[in-house]
Amino acid sequence: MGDAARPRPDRTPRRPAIEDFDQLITAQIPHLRRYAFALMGDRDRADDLVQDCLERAWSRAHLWRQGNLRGWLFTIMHNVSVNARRRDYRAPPLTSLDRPGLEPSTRATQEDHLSIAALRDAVDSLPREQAEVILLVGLEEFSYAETAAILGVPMGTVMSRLHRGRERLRQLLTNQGGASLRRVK
Amino acid sequence: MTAERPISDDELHATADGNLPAERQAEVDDAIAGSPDAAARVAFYRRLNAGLHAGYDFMLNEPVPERLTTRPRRRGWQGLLRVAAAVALLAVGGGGGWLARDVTHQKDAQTYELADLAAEAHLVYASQVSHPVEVPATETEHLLAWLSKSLDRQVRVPDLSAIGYRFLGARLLPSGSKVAGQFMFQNVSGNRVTLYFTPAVDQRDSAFRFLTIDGVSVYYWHDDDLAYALVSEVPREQLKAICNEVYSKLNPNAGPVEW
Repeated sequence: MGDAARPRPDRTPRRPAIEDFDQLITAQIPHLRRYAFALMGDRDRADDLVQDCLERAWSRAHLWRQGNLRGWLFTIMHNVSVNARRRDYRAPPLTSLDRPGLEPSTRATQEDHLSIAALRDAVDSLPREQAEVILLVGLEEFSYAETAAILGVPMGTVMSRLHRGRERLRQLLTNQGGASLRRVK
Repeated sequence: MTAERPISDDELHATADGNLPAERQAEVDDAIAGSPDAAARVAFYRRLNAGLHAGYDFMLNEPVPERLTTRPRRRGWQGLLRVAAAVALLAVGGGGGWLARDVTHQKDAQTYELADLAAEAHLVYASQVSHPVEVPATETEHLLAWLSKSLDRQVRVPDLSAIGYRFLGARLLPSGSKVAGQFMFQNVSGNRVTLYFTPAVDQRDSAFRFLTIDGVSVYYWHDDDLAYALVSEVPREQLKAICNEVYSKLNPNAGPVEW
């Protein structure tokens, strides 16, 4: 308590380059939407989440120091989604009727591919913590260390969630009739 | 085939994700070749990643709804200045700093966030005419018990009557994932000062720092227990005088503040 306080210099903005920051963030919106859609399972709630994330990012822009803007945005989105979940954002369980126009244009043709619809349902059925890791690593292609930073958990936790989640999906998608995963010898 | 080291689950995942160090990859590949189970798993993980792209990449090509491209401007030009500050910092920093950012920076960010939340709370509540506080000063005893319990810290109200500020009451507020308290004071000319406080993240005392956010002055600091932000519309020098009084009333045994 007794330490004498020392004054610190104020931080004053230097050269404004708002448009650049604007562009950097705008460029990430499709990625944020893709991840949010995969996580939330429907467009409206995904876009609500992205909107909350962007608003927070803008209002906290002064907190962003340097470096990986994409990681920073995903970190914010994770925090927003955790808060949103506390407010029961996700309260009504997925009814999954909300999938208009989702017939994939890239319909799986090779038998080697997983059925997209089955895959989406399986991902939706995972605990949120496992789905997050699987999507951040497999879809957004963050490294394990980046994923740990985004989620604010140790790397070991990332690896165990990844493992449990993927093994759960393997079970669901390889044993489920019609899920069309070709068995590997 | 037997590798020198047994292959872990993590390494199977890292193989599928292309995250394994190159020097280990050959060994792991050998082991996978000798184990149908490991091979099946890696193959599945790879197809899963491909399947995620097949299932969700269409979102990258969808037009972005207008509500997401309309930049929120609720903070006006002050907000822009702060964005500019962030951009200036970006300009001096290189890549990769986000992960490498040291602990000091994170704490820095947390205290900045505190100042920001405090300014926001001040702007909302200090302007209220009829309900500026949640619990009025007349119920101080109850109020302190309630805030101390909510924050899990012993909370005290600094007596600012010596500098002409009367305690109006308090409010409990959300602060990120934690809770915060806000005390409000007012002087005879109607100027209001708020003291925002939340459990400290750092054990060491900090310096006093100053910021102007959205037209209000903020001094913020923390001790080993609580982080504080003092907010008012008064100019910096006046707020500094109030800050001195707040600090000495909260820390009666500490010497005068050295600036």
